[in-house]
Amino acid sequence: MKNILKTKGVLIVSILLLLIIFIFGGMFSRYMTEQISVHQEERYRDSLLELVENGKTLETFEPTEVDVTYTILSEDREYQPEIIEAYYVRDDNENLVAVIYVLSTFGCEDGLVSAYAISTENNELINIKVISHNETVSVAGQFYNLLDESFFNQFENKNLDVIDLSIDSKAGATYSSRAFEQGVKFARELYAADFEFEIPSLQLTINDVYYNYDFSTMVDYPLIADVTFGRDNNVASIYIDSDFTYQGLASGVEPPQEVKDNIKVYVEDSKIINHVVEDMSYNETNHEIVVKVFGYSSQGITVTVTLNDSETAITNIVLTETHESYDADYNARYTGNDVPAVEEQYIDEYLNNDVIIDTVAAATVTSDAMEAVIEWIDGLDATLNGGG
Amino acid sequence: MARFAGGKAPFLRIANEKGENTKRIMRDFLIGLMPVILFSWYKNGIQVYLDGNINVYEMLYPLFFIITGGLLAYVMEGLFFYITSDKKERDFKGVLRKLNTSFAIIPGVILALLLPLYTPIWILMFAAFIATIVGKMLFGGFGNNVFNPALLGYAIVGFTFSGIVTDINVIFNGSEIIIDSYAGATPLGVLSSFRGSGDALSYSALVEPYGNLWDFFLGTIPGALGETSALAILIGFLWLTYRKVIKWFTPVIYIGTVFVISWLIGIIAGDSGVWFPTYSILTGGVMFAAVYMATEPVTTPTNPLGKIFFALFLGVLTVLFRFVGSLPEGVGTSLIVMNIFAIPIDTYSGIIRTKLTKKPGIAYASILIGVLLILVVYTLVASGSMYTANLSFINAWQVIL
Repeated sequence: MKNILKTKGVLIVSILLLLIIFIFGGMFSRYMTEQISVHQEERYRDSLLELVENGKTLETFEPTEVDVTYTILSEDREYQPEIIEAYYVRDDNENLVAVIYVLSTFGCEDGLVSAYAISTENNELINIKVISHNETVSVAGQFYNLLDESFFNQFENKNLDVIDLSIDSKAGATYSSRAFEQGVKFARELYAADFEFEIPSLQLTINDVYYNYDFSTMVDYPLIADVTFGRDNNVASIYIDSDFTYQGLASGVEPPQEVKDNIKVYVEDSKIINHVVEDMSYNETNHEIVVKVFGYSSQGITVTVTLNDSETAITNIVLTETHESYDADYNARYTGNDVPAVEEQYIDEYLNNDVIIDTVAAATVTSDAMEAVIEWIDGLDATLNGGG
Repeated sequence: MARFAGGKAPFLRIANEKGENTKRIMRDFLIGLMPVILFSWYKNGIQVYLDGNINVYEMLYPLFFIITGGLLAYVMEGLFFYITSDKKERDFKGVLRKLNTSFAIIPGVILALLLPLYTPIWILMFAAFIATIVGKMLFGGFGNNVFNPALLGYAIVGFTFSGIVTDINVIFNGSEIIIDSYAGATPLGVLSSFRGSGDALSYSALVEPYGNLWDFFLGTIPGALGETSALAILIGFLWLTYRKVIKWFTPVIYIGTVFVISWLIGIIAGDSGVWFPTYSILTGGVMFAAVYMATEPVTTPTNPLGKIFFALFLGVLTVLFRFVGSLPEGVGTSLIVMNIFAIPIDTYSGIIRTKLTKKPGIAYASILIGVLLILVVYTLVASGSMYTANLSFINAWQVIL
């Protein structure tokens, strides 16, 4: 034995040491790795509790199902936000003080996961917290990074007992902004279902929304909404701007102030018109109408439409300016020509063949914007000469 | 009377009058590593524990990880000695005697300081095997290795298990989990996101998420165990210089080169502030490599002029790999490349020193300086095109090159 230890001792001790390190060191190392997720979970729950000032404990619960859909602006289709989880928040005395819904909404991409904390004491959205997202970020502070403190301050102590829950979007981060707004609206729907909270509403129906092609008013009032309101089913045609805000009465019965104040919410919810041509100008001398529509770039796409001298027909359509970014440098899935190929294709096909082309693959957002422009032009053409 | 030793480095202290030898150098080197070891333990363990974010086992883990790295290297080298020794020397006495002059623990400790804290132990074992057996012993043992052993182990693990290491790499310690703004990204990871973005480098994006440059100097930013604290490394540098274990000018020239070229890149990229080159030298492994690796006696040139050239090339290559290459770091790769060229640089610089005014001396000096200048210009041009919008003079250079 002594001889074995003398000749093989180094070997035995070394191998034993390596085995000990491998087994126990490995267990320790694994424990440490597992602790990462433990700490992350702790931090996650703490961060949720931080949303509620007097919140002490979280208790998961199953929220009531609701059937509400919203529009994915970046893809022009309907969806329902996903409920990731929901918590009751209780204070020191175990009293329920708030509820937190963790929801996943769709901005530029799917998976904008945020926590929406609602006070059960005063029906206010206390605040929101972004958990994770797949939105487009930029080290230079563009896109999602534009959503600064001033944007998120809008969610602080926001009263839910109002018709209009809209949030001011940040130019350049419109889709992300809207995704948060949809999250707030959906959280309110869940809250209403779970806590018998009544979402305020008006007796107001949006019958139709269409462009205003009257040259004398189109610049100031680009859209007209036909509405029915009140117990007497009064009808009116009202001017609204590209943001769907009330601008004036076109015809019919003057609506009450609450209808004027909340027309935007109802037009948005009606989903009759999603992509709007805006920033319009009309030059009577040259018979030119300049319209702008917003695709991916916050600088928009500008198109000039020229009419004949008698203003009875469209003579030309020209792409004046574009800042879109869908080509191969930006999106590997796009296989067409460089910018402004998509914009020009829409215009050329309409001018030459009177056709509004289908969405161009991997340039969806720009396509939607151009489709809106061409539809607007098509409507103008129909108004001018009956569609000839 | 002065005594001289020939043969392979390190040999400066093989036999001076006081009987000081390589053993003393390595002991001093280990002492020089202590500020870094203690700080990394404090930052990744003690402080987080005192803040109440981790338990006592987690607090001890950074120290365990570093000690395990050293122990692994020690045991593996012992095994190697056992296997390759004569039968008569295959006992504890014989193996320990060899280990005593091989300084086996150092590559393992450095390796642990270079790797992310949450690297699985089996990967640390593999890295220690590469460092000790492949990087050191297969080349002939201490004094014969071409590559810095720890760096070789680190690089091989980086190439082979990058997925596993990177997955865990996003979090370096328990405290970082609770800081939202970090989001697990190291400062160099953020820098790499500027590459090709067309956006100007900005203090707010690169430094502010981690505090300010003082935090970078102290080392309270995310990063591997040994690389974050410039202060701890500076203390180690002063000790090693005082004890004449390293030459002061190698780290200074290396860091200075990185500083100057980064500054030029910052200017090209639209920001001439001193913050950017300061950020550049305080992030990643520049400081650690400068003091503990670029000065390593075996794998770097031995004569002073060679050390100067080595440090200059190392600085240029670090910036080149960091700003132009696909990896965010650049220090490790540049050191491995320069390890390869250590012997030629040593030879050429020796000729330059002895025949500076003669033809061979001028020729070798011209070659080294010429290559260096080409690398500098290429680094500036290539970095400029990746980090900034179009600047006409840069474009003109690109056409020329």
